[in-house]
Parts: sequence; structure tokens; C-alpha cells
Amino acid sequence: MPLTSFEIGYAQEALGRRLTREELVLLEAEWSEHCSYKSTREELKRLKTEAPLVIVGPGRDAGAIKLFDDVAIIARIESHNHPSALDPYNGAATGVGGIVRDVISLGAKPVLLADALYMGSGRTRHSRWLSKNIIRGISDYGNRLGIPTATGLAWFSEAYEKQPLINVACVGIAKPEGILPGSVKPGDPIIMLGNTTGRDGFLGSSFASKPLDESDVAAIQVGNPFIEKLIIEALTEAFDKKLLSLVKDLGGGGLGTAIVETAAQNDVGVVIHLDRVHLREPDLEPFEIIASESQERMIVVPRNEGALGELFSIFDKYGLEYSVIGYFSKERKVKMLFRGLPVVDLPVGLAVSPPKTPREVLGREPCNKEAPMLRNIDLKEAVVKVLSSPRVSLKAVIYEQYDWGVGGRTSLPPGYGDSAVIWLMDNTKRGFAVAVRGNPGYTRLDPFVGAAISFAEAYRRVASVGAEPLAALDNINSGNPEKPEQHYYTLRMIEGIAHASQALNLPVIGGNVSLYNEDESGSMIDPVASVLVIGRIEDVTKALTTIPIGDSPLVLAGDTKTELGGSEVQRVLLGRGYGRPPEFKPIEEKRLGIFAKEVSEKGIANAAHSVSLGGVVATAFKMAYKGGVGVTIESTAICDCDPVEALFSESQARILYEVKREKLQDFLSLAKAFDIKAGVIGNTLKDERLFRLTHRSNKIMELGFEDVSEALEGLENLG
Amino acid sequence: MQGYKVLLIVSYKASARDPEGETIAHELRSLGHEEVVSVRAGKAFLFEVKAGSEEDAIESVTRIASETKLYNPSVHEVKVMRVA
Repeated sequence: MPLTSFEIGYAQEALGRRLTREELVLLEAEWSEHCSYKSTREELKRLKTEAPLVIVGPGRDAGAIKLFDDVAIIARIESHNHPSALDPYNGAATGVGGIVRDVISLGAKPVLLADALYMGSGRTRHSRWLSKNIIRGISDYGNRLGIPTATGLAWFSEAYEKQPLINVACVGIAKPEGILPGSVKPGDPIIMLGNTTGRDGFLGSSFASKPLDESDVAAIQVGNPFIEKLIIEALTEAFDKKLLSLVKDLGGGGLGTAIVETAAQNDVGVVIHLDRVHLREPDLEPFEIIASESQERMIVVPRNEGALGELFSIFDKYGLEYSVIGYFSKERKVKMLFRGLPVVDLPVGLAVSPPKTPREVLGREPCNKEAPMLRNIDLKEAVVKVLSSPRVSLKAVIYEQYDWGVGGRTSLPPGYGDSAVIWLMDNTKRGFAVAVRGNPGYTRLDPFVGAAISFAEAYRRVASVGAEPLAALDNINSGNPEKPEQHYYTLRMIEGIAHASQALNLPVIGGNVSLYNEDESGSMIDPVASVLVIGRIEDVTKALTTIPIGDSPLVLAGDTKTELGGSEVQRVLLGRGYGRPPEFKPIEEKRLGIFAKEVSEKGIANAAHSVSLGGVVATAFKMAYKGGVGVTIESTAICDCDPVEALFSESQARILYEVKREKLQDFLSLAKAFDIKAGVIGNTLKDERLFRLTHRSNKIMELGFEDVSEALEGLENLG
Repeated sequence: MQGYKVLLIVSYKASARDPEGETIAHELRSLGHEEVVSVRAGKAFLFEVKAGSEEDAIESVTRIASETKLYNPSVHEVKVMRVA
């Protein structure tokens, strides 16, 4: 049981009596790490969460911002790490299901899914089984709902061989005035909508709050996208008719936590008749009804009593089951009855305020040990190895399993742009861009800088297509908070996100913290912060792709330093990362972001790609390969240093452009006006399908497309 | 060594939901077959294996299915039986 004897004692002292079994279960869920964020609450307050365009900040099912005066964006990110380790297919699928319901809860129409997947090496059968089924789970659930999965990231490492990390995000749109207030008042009836409640997924969120163990198998839930689709349709109709004041997903912690959180946020009490919940098995015990995490269930509250009849007829039309299970009350208490007898009677304040959990942190300074030198290596071998790293190679085999285009809004599909660009489809050309980034290689070496770089990279990817970054969501994945040396990573990552949100002046409108990501021996996975950034774009047809057209100059915007710490070339040649990750440069990132927007609006570039994993060489070669054009690069034009450092450095705040030949002077002048270092580092070719590197004009490497196609498309075994 | 036909049936554990089976049961009832209480759906694999005995045949199919993840012991239950 995750409730400690201290916590039980605390509750019993506050009440002056023993807890009932039902109260224990309720508090166990409500005070779990998953629901209460008890180990990270204080640190999360450091995040920048306010900005004029924020409509709903962190705290509700999803966050919301004003994209344009007449359009709001609603978004949420969540992890489903622990379930996916045991049942990758259903774990990943129900992760999608939950996140979509969260976004619907604010009255939005979900239009985009994104995923950040950190999976095993692919070298063991177990890790391949996990990866394939995770991808299939996301694909099946998302595709069946008709929501495109149009952007994401996939990272592969031995650190996730048995404990993958699955972060999924959903973005929806609504009219700003259509966002549900989420407020309830005493007397409002509470309706439970959707799936029946059963024993499946019992106490899933406290299961997410402790290391996995074989006996946890009963916590697995099987997703049912068909019911979810019916819920979406029914609620959309109810939103249009303005029949609802509150919708809340029953997620981690089940009915109990959803009810308690709603009551707490609205300063009211609540009375629930547990025997009125529609059940799958008639013999469910009251404590099971409180904590069941059966999927595809929601709480809805009608706008007024007159709306009830119309609501019911909509639910009937879609064949959805529902039951009226109670009402909100004046007295600030959570009361639950079963067959007339009280089983829960707790003050709301107590239920949402777990006692402070002292957590110790054992900090260690980031590893300053310099990396072994990577000079005088076989350059050709290094390039092929970097390109064939599954982290770098092309991800088409993953996203082609996703229906990335359903709905017809996706104007920049995966693989064709630094971020997904989604059209609003409202008789204008307006839209939004979304990118999600995370680099465990950096966060393992320095969680603070690594998390800030995740933020910067997502920011830059939104900017490089020509969008203006507006808001962010974060998902921290880390170890056991009870172990000081692991908790250090959690807190430093949050501080890194907080620092980046302040420095880049971007509000964080929601997030998730997943802890206890340990393997059976108690060692932590590589901790990582996924950051998703959303941006505004006035004209989606002007969004820059990553696909060059050939016979044009390649210009690198941004400064390159010899930053190989935690880089991909270190990992593929030395087996792991060493030293410090690259510097986080918020001032340069912001400047580059505004510059990138102008470049896209002026139409002076053919293609743009944020430079990250694998440095300029991986970025340029992947662009060229996808465009079917050759490329030649002079290493001293990147940086007057050793070619290995110039080509593979992962310095931040850089975008590689293929500039329109006749607009080169305009481009360089614009960069100068922004005080951004920019220079021609090579050319794309038209007829030669090859990659050529020179150093002081001497050819140092040449590869044909056929030499790298196998490397770049090495992920095929996931298909 | 002799040839055995062994049937392997994979379905969700009783404690887990089975959306496919539940949907089929619901539809059957709505078609008027009100006697249908529940339906469980699953996958069936018919193996032909060489083995020294029926027990060995069943044992090897069970082992292969588990090792190669034809089912996930965390969520699925299996029935293995000789059919010929």
C-alpha cells in the first residue's frame, strides 16, 4: 500500500477516528504521487505559467491559450510509462485515450496527437516486442478515433530495454467562449458517462507511483476506442447546444479523485451514491467502485437542470450508458454512500492535502570530465555510424503506421517539417505548429541544462517552420523520489524547465511528472524531460519544409562551438556520452526564432531544419537524402576547428537553411540585421546524388546515396 | 516422433476488458438474441508439431507461444489442446 503509516496516522488524527476501507482507498489514490505530485509540487511552482494569452493554466484536465482572438488551443501531455512496460499495446493505446478525454473535457475538438517515445535498443527480442506494440497501440487507438498523430520523437537506448517511456500529447481547438468554465455549484447533479465500471485497472495510479512488480498485472486496462469515439461525438453535440458546465475525465485514481478534485476546485462538497454507478460486474465492492480505473468514463455536469433531458436523449442516441450518481453540496465534505450507508465522510480540504513528504536530494555536480578526444577518426565510418543510429535515422517506419493526415488539416506531415503544421480549416490560411523534443543523452549528464535544451529544441522547431512559439507543456520522466540520488534528477529537470520558460518567456500551460521509472534492480532509466511547444502561424502554406530542392546554397544560421558533450557521435563511437551538454542559449534562441519567422514570411528559403542530434552533417545529409538531391559541405565554413568538431557539434540555436539562390544576399543581410551569425557552408546539388565533405577545399569524404540508404532506413525491423 | 495438431487459444484474462467480445455480445442482443449473456473474443492458432507424446506437443506449443510472445502473460490467458 502506498499510504505510509505516517500518512494514515495523519489522516486519522485529523478525523479523530479510524479511516474506513473506502476512505483508505480514496486517500491512497488522491495522495499518490500520480495525483498529488507530493514530491514535486513545490518545485513546479517555479514554472512560468502566466501570460496574457493563457486562458487555462496548469491544474485542470488540460491547458488552454488564445491562438487567435477567435480560436483557442487546448492541450495536454501525459505519460503512460508503467502500463506500457507490462502491456505495451494497451498501455500505449489507453495513454492516447486518456489524453484525448482530457482535451475534450475543456470543450475542445481534438485535432492532433503527438508522441515522445523512449524505447529499448531494438537489439533484444523483448525491446523489439515492446517498441512494435507501443507504436501499434498508439496507431490503432489514434487512427480509430480519426485524430492524426502527426509529430513526435523516437529515442532508442539500452536504458529503456524493459522500461520504456511513453509520453503522448493531444491538441484540440475550440472557440475561446466555448471553453467549459468547469465550475459547479451546490445542487448540480453529477452524471457518470461511458464505459461500465469494472475491476480492470484497479488502482492504476498508485501502481504508477511505485516500481513495477509482477503482482501488478491486474492493473492493466484494455482500451476501447469505439466507445471513446461515441463519447467524443456525444459531447461535441452537447457542447454545441451549450448543455454542459463541467466535463472531467476519470483518469488516474478513478471516480474518487475526479470527484474530490472537482469539489476542491469549486469550493463545494459532494454526495455520491456508489450503488448508482453502472457496473460491469454486479458484485463490485464500494471501495472498488471508488478506485476502479476502467477506461472511457467521464463525469459530466449539466449547465442547468433543464438540460438534463436533452443530454440524456443525446447519450441515448449514441447508445452510451450513463447514470446520475450524486450531486454537489454546500457542506465542504466528500460523502459517499453505498446502499444508503455512509462509507466515506471526509473534509474536502483533508482529501486534497496530503501531509508534506520530506524528500532528500543528493546533488552531484554535472560531470565535468572531459570527453576522450574524437580526432583523427575515420570520418566516413563516423558519418555512417551516426546516420545509422536509430535515434538519427529516418522514422518513416513509425509514423507511416499512424494516420497522420486524417481530417485533412495536416499541412506539414511528419518527416517533412521540423514541426507538424495544422491548418484550422476555417476559410482562412491560419494554423498552428507543434513540436515535441527530449534528449535523455543530455539530461543524464546534466538534468538542468538537458531539460532546458528540450525546451529550446521544441521552441526552435516551431520557429523554423515559420510559426511564433506561444506556449509549452512538459513531461518529466524520472526515478524514485525516495532515493535522494535519483530525486536530484527530477528536481533539476523541473528547475531546467522553469529556467527555460522564464528565459524564453513562454508559459507552461500543463504538464506531467512520472516518477519511479526504475528497473527491477532499482536502477533508474535515463531521466528525460519531454517538452512540447505550440506556435501560431498566419499562413500554413508558407510553412517551411525540411526538403531541399537542389542546386542552391546551404546557409547555417547560428554559431557553432566545439560542443561534443553528450553528442550522438560520442554515443556511437565511445558507447556513451561524456562531459557537458551544449550550452542553453535563450537569447540566441529567441532572436533566431523571430528571424526564422521573417525568413518564412519573406519566402527567401526553400527548406529549413533545426540542427540537433548528429550535428550539421546528420541534419544536412538527412535533408538532402529526403529531397533526393546531393550535398557538399566545407567544414571550415561551419567552424574553424577540427572537422569532426565542426561537423558533429550539437551547439544549440542553429538552423540549417537551403536558401533560394537569387535571395542569398537578402538572407544574409536579414541575418546581419538580427545579429545572427550566418554563412554559406555548402551547396545542394542537382544531378549528383552524393554527400561530399571538404576541409580547406580538400575532399575529406564522399558517400553515395546507396552507401547510406541502408543506414538511414535501418529502423525497418520495427515495421 | 509423430505429428500432432494442437490448438492454441489466446484471449484476454477474465479480469480484463474485452471490447471486441463485449461489442459482439451487445450487437447480438440488439439483433434479438437475448439469450446471449456474454461473448469473449480472441485469437486461435492451429499448430502442427512433431513430438514424442501429446503432453510434449502441448508443452512445446505453450513454450513457443510464450517465448515468442504470441501472447502477453500479463494480460492474456491461453488454452492449449490437442485436436488431432
